[in-house]
Amino acid sequence: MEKTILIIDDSRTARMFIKQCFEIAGFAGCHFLEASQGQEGLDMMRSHPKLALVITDINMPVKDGISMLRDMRADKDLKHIPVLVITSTQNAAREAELVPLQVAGILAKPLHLPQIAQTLTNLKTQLGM
Amino acid sequence: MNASITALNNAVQDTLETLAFTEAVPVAAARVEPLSAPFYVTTLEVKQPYAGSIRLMIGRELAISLVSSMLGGSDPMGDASVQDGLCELVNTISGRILAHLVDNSSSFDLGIPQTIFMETARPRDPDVLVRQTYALNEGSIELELAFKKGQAA
Amino acid sequence: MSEKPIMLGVGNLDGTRTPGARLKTMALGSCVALIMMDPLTKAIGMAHVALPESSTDAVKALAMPGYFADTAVTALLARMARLGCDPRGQGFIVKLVGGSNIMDGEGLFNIGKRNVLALKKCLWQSRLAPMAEDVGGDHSRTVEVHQESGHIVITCPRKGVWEI
Repeated sequence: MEKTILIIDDSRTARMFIKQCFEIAGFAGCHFLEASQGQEGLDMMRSHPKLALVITDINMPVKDGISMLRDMRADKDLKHIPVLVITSTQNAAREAELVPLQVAGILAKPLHLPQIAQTLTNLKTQLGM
Repeated sequence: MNASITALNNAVQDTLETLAFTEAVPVAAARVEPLSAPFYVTTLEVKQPYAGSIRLMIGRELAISLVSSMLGGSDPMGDASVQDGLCELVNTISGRILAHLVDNSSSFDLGIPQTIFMETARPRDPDVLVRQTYALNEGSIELELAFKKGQAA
Repeated sequence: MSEKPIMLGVGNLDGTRTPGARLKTMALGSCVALIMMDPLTKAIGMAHVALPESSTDAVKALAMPGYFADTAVTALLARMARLGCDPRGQGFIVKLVGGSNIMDGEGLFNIGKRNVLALKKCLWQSRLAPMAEDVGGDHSRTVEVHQESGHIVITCPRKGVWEI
């Protein structure tokens, strides 16, 4: 069955870049949805109950990625959705902040496919693809 | 200061190579044509751990070319697309710089990048700590790190 | 394994889906081997790319599209399509080898890196990107692509033998 993936980033360029990287890395059969900040992302999650994966940025206007993740984990309908964080603000302190929010992985921008190929292969397995 | 310049160079080179497929070589400003108006200025505010900003200045034609490369050269380039692409470049460069400069156990907080189009030259920022010019295949860009006095990295 | 590999000189490109076949190119310095593999048809293809832009010699680009990054990607996709692969390269695994650091005449830009970046830019325009690469450094590489296993074997006189 076709998997649906939601990409949340305030940059249209970043969303396009992430989508194309994922398609090249073996996710070409997936259906991609896009949101430009956390609140719009939460609304889309509620209107698309069978999301296989959420990919999110952290630093966004209106509702940032951390705040959105907290809302997701407190919501019985959304807390099970795996989340991959792709951010430019990655360091050990950020990773520690994300551990209690049970993210499936954290990738640093800019995405460099040869460096993240193994992570994406593992993610495909995790999603049963 | 050396750590700032190294972090800046690594961040700019890696980001431009990965997102826009272009080499960026740090050069003395005198070695390239000075940046002339009109150009785009993209600014990102640094909030934590020290207040300041990171700013990219780039000529209009080069900006269109870079963002077109990022988008795979398919769509016609509107001004909104160019500005969005530049914001993503500066966002990524800034994250890389701060990740280098800030102690691993401290978090850092960045604002949302903003791009403006300038028809005329702008006044120089007095708080600039580092200003670096980069030669690209088709022109040059300038990056500035500006931090409030006493907070220099 | 077939007796002899198909040898590719500078600017050559070729593809094959013959069981047990190998594609080989030697002594990559700043040149880059663009490698495509199609898991569906088990076809493999390779181009030995020497320069980033065909605008420097349009006549040569027509005769030998594998020589330039901006013509090699399209030409190799066309070669793969003649072997029965998707003409857009959907599902292909792309890899890059070579691109050693050799500076231009002014000592400003790195020719090997420029070749690698030009290939990545052209691949991205075709909605492709390398999933693995062995590029840069200051050594010469010989590369062999194995049709049956998909192995890419790199040899270097000073550094030994390894795979990507």
